[in-house]
Amino acid sequence: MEPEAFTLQDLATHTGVEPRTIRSYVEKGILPGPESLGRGARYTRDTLDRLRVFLLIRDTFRDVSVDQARLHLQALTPAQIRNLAAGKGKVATLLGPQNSAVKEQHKGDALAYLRGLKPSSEHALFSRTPGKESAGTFPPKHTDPTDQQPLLEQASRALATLAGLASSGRGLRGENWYRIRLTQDIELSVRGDFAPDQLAQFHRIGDALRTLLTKGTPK
Amino acid sequence: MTTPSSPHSNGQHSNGQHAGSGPLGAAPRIGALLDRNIVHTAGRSVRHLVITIDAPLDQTAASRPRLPLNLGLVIDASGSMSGRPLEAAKAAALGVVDALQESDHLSLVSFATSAQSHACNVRMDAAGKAAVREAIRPLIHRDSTDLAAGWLLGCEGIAERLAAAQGVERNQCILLSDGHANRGECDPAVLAQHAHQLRVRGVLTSTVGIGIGYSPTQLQAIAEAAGGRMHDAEQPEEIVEIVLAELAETLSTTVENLELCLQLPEGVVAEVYGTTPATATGRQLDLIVGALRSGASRRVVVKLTFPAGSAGARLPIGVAARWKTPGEEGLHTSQALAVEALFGSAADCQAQPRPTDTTQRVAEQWQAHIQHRGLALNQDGAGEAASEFVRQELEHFRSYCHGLPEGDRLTDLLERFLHTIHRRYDPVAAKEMLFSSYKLSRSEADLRRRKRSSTEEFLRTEEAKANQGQPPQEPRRP
Repeated sequence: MEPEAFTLQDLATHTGVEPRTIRSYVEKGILPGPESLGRGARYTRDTLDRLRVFLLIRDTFRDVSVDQARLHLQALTPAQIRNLAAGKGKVATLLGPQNSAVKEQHKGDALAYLRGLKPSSEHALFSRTPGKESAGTFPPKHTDPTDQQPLLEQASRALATLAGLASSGRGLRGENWYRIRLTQDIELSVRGDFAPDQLAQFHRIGDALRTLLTKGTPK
Repeated sequence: MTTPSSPHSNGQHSNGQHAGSGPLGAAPRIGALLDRNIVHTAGRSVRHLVITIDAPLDQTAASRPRLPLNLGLVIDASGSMSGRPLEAAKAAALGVVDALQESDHLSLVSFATSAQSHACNVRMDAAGKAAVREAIRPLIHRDSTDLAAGWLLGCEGIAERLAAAQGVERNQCILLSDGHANRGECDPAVLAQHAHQLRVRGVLTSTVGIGIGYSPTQLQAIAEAAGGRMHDAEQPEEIVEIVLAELAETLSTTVENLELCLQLPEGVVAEVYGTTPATATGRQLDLIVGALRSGASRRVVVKLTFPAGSAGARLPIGVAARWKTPGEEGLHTSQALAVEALFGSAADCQAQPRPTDTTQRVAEQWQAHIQHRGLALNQDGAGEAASEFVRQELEHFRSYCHGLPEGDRLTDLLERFLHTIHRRYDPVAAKEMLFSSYKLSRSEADLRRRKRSSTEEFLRTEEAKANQGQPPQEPRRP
């Protein structure tokens, strides 16, 4: 039986995919990020399952691009992903015979999204109340603030430093946006022109924020 | 997928490709090409990727029933709308009710200090129409402008219907507003994020700016991220005309939710001209093009700055599209196109010809881009920054336009901006010029019938004011 936590190298060994490729899949939002940071960063079984299914999709639909395969993966439910990763069922059956049409999200998703924006204690729809979170932003659930404070502070300090860099180097072409996807619905957006080492620092911040967000997700 | 090309064969057909998929006539035709495909081995070469999208013609529209429409109409009823604007908006709403069919559903919301639902998912049979007309007539103006609350409540009505509907419908919100949002969520980036989330969940939004006081930043952010269109109705009497024209555009849409996905080579820096929302993730660039009506064409120009490389080495650029066809459940994806740049010497770069038509199209989009960005800075009170931006762009633009049929006219226009843009323009002139560059960059028609002054005429007026020593326009206080 396989373990439930994996290093980046474990994922590479299990799937034959280069670690740097796996990391790029995380950055593109194809795979969830690790649960912890640093050299011993651990990924969940869900990441391994998604990676396996992603590879199956690319094997099944030979001409599909990475982006198209991402859309296919997003169209599958968690149960379907678990089954496909375990060798139960076929990608082609679930995603249909043609690879030109990817199923959209469920019809009720727009309603769920809108209702999720409403502050439950307020009757004034979607209005921002001073001192409260703005519409559409949520604190991570089930998190221990004392546990996360150093990481938050670290990310905050790094962001402040980079914000200074961003504003000083922005100039008139400051409309360039660099976006790092953290989860399916959350991204880190920074405006400016950056050197590779600055971008690498943003990615490290992205990893930290991703960890904070995924750690709070109920299992 | 790569088209072989010789060092100098950079014409429209040698380094560009076209693709379409799906049933004949149902898929948009996508084309991509570079204005020049040889880039200098020393790096920093700038080339333009031109992507063209031609929406299919809906040739059977007249012979079959149209798709049911699930429409949300959201009306600004803040204090500044009192009088003729609100009466015109109500007349537009009544016109929409008249134009809808029995299979359609309408949600009607007004917003001011708070949002108010007047009708939610009402089937447009005779009884439903009568009920909605009754709801529209007593609509009165209230205080401040919580645009987000009204818009999202209108979308909620659409989303309720979307969740319950058995078949496939067009799900569209039309948002009318004359003022800057000053209550609730006002940040254009947050509004755009909600618009994006609603678009991928099947709810599109178009916006209509009323008068000269509306915030194009907020309405544009919503319309673009929501895959819709932004319109302008300066005069109250134009509101009815624009809303009904938008309704007609919605019903004739053959491509919805079109997104482009670019795969760029390592080290290539991309900048999209115009206002097309773009998201860069590593070497991938996603662009939201939105909805296209039957037979419409859209051109997207991306400025690419290339790194250094070895002579003869090739840099493939991948372009793919995905979109939704109204009436179908799934998303379609096109086959990926590949366009290549090729590293060459300075002599190779100099010797390669430029396809005049493509270069002209790039110049038009570039000019619209400079105009739009400069005007936005001007209206933000950053006149010096606007002037510096136009000056820097003009240095390159001038040489790019050399020898083009329309090159002198486009360059002259920007020269005139350069001489006046440091002074804050009259808000009516600025709004009209912003709107004109916005429509040009999106290859969209201006639906207003009343003739407007041209950008050249507005500039002439601004030049005259500057020459007479008139003080610049004071910023508006919304």
